Amino acid sequence: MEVRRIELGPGETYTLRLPGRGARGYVWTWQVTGDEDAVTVRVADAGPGAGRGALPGEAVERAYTLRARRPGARARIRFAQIRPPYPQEAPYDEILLDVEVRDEA
Amino acid sequence: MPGESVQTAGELRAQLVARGARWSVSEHLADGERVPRPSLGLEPGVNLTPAAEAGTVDLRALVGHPSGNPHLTRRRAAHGLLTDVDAAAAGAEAEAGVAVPAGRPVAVDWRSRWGWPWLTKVKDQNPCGSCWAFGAAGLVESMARIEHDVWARRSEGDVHDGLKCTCGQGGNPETALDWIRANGGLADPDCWPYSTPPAGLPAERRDAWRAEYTPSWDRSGRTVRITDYVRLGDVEQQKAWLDTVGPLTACFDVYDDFFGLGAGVYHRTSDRLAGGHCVLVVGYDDAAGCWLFKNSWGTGYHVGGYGRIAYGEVNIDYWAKCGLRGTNIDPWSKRRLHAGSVYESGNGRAHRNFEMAAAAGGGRIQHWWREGDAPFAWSRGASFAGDAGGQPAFTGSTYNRNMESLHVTTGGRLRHWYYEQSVGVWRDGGAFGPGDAALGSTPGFIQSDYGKPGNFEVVVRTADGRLNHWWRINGAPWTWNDGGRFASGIAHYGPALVQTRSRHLDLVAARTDGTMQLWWRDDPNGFVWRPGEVFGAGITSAPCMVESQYGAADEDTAGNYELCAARADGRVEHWWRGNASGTGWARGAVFGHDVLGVTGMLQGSFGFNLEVVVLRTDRLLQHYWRDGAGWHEGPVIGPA
Repeated sequence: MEVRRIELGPGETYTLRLPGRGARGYVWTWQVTGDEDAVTVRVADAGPGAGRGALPGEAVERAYTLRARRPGARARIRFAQIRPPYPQEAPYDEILLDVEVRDEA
Repeated sequence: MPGESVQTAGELRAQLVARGARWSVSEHLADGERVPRPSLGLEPGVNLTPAAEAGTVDLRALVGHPSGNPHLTRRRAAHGLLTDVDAAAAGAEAEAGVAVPAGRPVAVDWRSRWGWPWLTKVKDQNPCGSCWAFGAAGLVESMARIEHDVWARRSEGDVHDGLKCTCGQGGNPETALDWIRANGGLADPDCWPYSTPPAGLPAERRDAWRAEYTPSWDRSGRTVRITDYVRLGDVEQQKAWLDTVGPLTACFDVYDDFFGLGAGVYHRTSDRLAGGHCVLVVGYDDAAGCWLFKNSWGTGYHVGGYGRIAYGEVNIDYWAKCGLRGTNIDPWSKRRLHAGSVYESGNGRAHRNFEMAAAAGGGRIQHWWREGDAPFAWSRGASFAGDAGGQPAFTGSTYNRNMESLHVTTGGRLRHWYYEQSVGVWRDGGAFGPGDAALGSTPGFIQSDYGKPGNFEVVVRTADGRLNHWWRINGAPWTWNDGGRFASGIAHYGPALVQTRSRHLDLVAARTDGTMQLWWRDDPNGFVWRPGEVFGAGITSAPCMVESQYGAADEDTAGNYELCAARADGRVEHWWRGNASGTGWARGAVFGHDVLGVTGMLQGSFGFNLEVVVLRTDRLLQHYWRDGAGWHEGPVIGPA
């Protein structure tokens, strides 16, 4: 499993790009542990034309934006690509982000 | 700037309420859980045909003829697709008690029509991007069932891997159907399975993983073949097709909210494009304004794997939908549906000719065939052999759909003949066997699933009133092996050998006291033959037995045994046993006259009818069949 360490200043953003496998029923979910007010996570537009022209069934890029919030906070965000009706299944893919928000000073 | 979007199932539920949505979020999603948001796109120019480009088609030219499925014939008549003569025939059936609504019904649901199931189980493409292969395979499976009344489970891997696609590679049903048409059809999973990346392969390498396509070498004898598929662009014609022919493939855009679809009619409430997907449309509902589709994400999605999408939503009507007719079923799929001297092949315009072998005097065997269209005339083919001492057993095998004949010789042995399809020649496969096979008897003869191509299995009655099993591994050195003798007090035995889904062999023989008895081979415990239930009385000929489609609720469920045997007064008793329901042997009906023995039996492509060929006391062969109204006396075919 890939682990990324990210340091952000308050208000700074980081865009995470992941392969979306929606045509197979997979979705990316995320869970924040540690300081839950360290960051916010939003689904982002993957960019102009993302997914356009792809064949049915193909993976396409998905983008998620992390915005740092409270200075000094630390959080671990676990992204997991799963099929919601089958919680017993192992995730298709996972990635961990260790986020540290710098002090404003 | 990222667009705003609902985050949780609870928010989506609120959004659905706010927008007056007609569908609900899957119950497995709790309010606090995040709604899935995958992504993919579908644009013109990806080898899918836009509906506008497909336009309208001439339905009368495509399907304006009676189907083997009498329900469809009536539906085509209701749409005015048949000629006056054919429509009159369909109308005559209607007057006999079957109501025929005029025009198109307000709803069609192929999961259950006319009291029968027509769709294979919901499958799971996980984790590959192979929805397009599942859509195409689902279409072939459903049309095989609808046109020929047979479950014919197909392998999505056959077309997916045949196209050398990787796990992550997208595609479309049209490309898949083109490949199936050009490559001899679509094989069953035992010939080449749908496979997915091995466990433990890192996620980043799974999409690039590809199975090296190496189907079993008898693939040509185990594919459902297809001809041209039809692209339908007009929605009204798509509905007419669903009513009069069968399901359709369809592709559409997936938005973030689609993954939460449970019950109700899906219409888009999210603006976030999440992907492109293909499914099998298996019905429509005008009252609800929607298509009914069968997805390939397992039964956990939607309602048991089936969902509903509103007409015109998410580009589902932007792309042409693909329909299929004229499926040509392989002998492997039909292997349990016939016994004895007759079986249904894929030959003929409608791919449902009957093929029959019969003793022709002087030790010769005559090949007969019956065209699958009206007036259903029987014709003579070639003759072969010179030492037949009784009626032959006849079947189609996975050897390129070769015809295989086996008879007891005048010297009490067994002799195999086969028709080599590739060159159109009958060949002598040689003699083997006990030396005291009962003269005049017919052996039980099937191809089993031991090996690929599957072994030939033969059971014949011997002069000492026992049964003798012989088998051949269908690979070098092609030798026949003596499987040993079993049972005793057997008066008559013939075409009544079936391989069950648990792989053991079942047979029924008539005993000297006039009763019948089932014997079965206990494969896991030394391949020992064991006696089963005793039933009936007064039987004076060899029973003929098939496993039918009655009771086969799906492709994995065993159908009923159907058995016919003649008795001393020249009439035929029909018996059946419910293999899935556990119902014991029961006598269904008594029919016919002047019957010496039942030489063959099949269930073919004619509305689940049972078809029987008997040898009469005047040495003429005659056809009987059973439909919903009972047993009917058919034509005299010829001498035997």
